[in-house]
Amino acid sequence: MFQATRNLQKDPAAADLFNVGNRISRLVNEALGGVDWQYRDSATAAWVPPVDIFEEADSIRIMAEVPGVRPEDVKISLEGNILTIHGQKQQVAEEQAERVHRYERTYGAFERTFTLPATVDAYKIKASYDLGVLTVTLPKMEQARPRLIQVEVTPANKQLTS
Amino acid sequence: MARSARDSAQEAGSALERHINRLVNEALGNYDWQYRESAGAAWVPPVDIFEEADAVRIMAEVPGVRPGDVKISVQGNLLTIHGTKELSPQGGREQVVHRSERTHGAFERSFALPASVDTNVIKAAYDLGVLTVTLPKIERAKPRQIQVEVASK
Repeated sequence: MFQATRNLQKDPAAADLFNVGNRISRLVNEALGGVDWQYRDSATAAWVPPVDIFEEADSIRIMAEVPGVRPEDVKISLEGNILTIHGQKQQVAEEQAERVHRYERTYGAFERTFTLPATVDAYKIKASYDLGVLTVTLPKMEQARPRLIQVEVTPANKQLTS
Repeated sequence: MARSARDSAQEAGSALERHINRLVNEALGNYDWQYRESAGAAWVPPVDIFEEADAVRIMAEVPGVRPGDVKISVQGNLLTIHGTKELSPQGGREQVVHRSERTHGAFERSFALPASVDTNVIKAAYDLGVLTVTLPKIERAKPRQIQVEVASK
């Protein structure tokens, strides 16, 4: 009995810790995130998937954690430069449940919107799903990729140096 | 500016949601399902625990964790789920990180099992980033009909 009371008291502390954790990652993300990646959350969404966004030389990758969401229940749409990932996490097991001991997962609609930089090639966007993680790959347009610019030596100066 | 105001409203919202969930879970949860968190864990997967007529099911969200990286162990009546979420493959040096919201690293969660569960026949399955541990009830803990005998006159 004593043990049980102690465990319950531990819970709010753990919640505070999670809050601090959230706050820290928000600070980090605000420092990292350019205006391009700000997102809008839908008022009707029950939950918002956490994402990592990496940019490489030729593409940008968005990885969103959507555990329990079937790939066919995910919709990705692009309107102008607004990329929207939305879908539904369906609850399967609860109907048969006679008793619920813990209920921590969130179900229902999710939605997240990203403002893409103009450098992304909208027609080559690809998405894959593995281990409950959705990966959206956004290839950059040819002219946005990093390249080397050759320094041309003008003939006049060539003479001067030789 | 408007953005950070909305962010903090959102944060307050999710804090409230966690608070409500906790209240619900405390009301729901009997002491059997109390859990301990490991100090060494970087994150704790959220779980649903549903009890059916013949089994108890624990469903834990572990997105990005490979099934081979999950370990489930039972010691006495304590069930422990632990493992590691590997960092997603990193690109070259030119990689820029725009958002880093996912948690990586070790996770652990333990549950005190009620005596009505048969710890010898625990099964686990992994699908869509969700780990489902099925704990069948022992025979005498399953619900059964009790026949009303009619006393003969």
